[in-house]
Amino acid sequence: MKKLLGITLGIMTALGGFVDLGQIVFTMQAGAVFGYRMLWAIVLGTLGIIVYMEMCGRIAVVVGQPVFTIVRKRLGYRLGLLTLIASNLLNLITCAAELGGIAIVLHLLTGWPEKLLLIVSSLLLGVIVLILRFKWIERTFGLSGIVMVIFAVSAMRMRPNWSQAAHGLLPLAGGPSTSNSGSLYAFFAVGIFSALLMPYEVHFYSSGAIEEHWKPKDLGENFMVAALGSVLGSVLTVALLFLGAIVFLPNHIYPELLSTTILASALPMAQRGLLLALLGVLATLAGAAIETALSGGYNLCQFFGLPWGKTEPPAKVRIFTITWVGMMLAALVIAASGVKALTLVNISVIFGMVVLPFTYYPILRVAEDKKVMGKYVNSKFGTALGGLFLLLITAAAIAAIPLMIVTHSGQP
Amino acid sequence: MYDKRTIRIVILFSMTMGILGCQQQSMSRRKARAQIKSTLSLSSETRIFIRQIHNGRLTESFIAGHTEYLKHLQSDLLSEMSKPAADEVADALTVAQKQLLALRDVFPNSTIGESEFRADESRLDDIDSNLNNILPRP
Repeated sequence: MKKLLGITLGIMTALGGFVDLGQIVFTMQAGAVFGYRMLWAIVLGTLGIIVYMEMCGRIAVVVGQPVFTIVRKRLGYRLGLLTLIASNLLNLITCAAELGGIAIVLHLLTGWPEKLLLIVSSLLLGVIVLILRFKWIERTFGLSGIVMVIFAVSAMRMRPNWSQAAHGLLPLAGGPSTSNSGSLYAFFAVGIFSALLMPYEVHFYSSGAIEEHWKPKDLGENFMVAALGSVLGSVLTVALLFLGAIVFLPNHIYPELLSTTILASALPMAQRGLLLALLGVLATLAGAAIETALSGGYNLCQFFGLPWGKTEPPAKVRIFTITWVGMMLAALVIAASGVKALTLVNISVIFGMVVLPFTYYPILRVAEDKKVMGKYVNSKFGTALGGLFLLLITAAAIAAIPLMIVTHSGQP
Repeated sequence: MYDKRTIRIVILFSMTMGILGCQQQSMSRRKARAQIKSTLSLSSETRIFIRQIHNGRLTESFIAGHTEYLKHLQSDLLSEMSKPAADEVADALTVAQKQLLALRDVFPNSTIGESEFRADESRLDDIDSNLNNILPRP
């Protein structure tokens, strides 16, 4: 049972990264424009995050060093500091977007004023994180996020076209007959791939492994947790793509609202299905908001060598506590300023893309270093696979911003 | 009379302006097409939405909330369409704005009876047909 509950770290990490506000809407948009053709990008991104989650978990267990300690050591102070600033800006903006998304879902659930819900839910979330110990945070939000499976049930009930889905496993272009369909295809492929590898996933996962006091004997579990959590997140992402392909593509709808994506999931079901979809989205958005706020605290303290940890009493890790509480309050101020949650997501994607190579490169370097890792060093195959994904990540990072400009953020 | 360098600069400048001019024109058409397609998308979404309400599959608070968000989206689109446009698409955009306003009448209540549902569907058919008629080619 304890091992089973250990998986919740992987589930919370993956759900927070895979099916956060931006990803829910973005993946459905990809399905609405290209049908099943983006399936390969989800598979590729899932493999990539499993490889790197396992690697950073292994480093955390063997060396006891989380991601930002490694970033500083391998990139040096200046580049490391730039990576820290960009990563925490990304965390802040993403956290603000998730808080905005939570208010939207609560508004759809209760009909109460959105601004009031934003303030109350953000403060409540902060109190929950402050009170709960790390393992209860991951268990609560990891397990409640599983309600999102309703999206997969919904997609299955709408009978996907499996033959077209099988074709989607190959990266073949095609889709709308617009003048920019090639760049649009590339934009969605890069966006889906990169979003599955968002840096805060590895920040949170490696810190979580240390919070949970994993030992080398838990390394088998590390792989299982990374793989199972990511596969669950991936299945839900595929379900979102399928719903986009089944509901929106034939009706020429380009979903631009969170409520539209929830409506799609509720189509084959009665009101109970709609409520479950709303609760599932609420749980994953809350998980993502916590993940990004805590990552902000983890990153800062790990970079400057300050004490950190959610398992420690707040008075013992003051800077850590002040940082994540500050992140959440700043995110609340941004969300309350009236900026649309989905606009914030678009901005966070830019930061995410830029930061990706600077996060994954140091992880690969340490994992392949025999002097540091000893007998737990990467196998040759593991290093080759990591290197291949790093190349893809770098290519995606370079291509992302020009593609975003050319396609007007993916407008078909 | 003019040296070669001056002539080259004038030719290069004219070519650049020509390219920019063409781009500007095609951008306007592309933007208008995108806006009309967004209106069509909104209309299709409204159709699915009212069908779900008619079948009693949505909660009251979801209906109220989603209607509110759709109205925001409609207002954003309307203000985008109100910006100055190239002559070749100005008429089409005027028609599109009228359809967008007509869509407002279709925005639903928390319950929709059979006759109201049929009337709404027929209105949406008209809106879709009018929008498809003015959609500029890619």
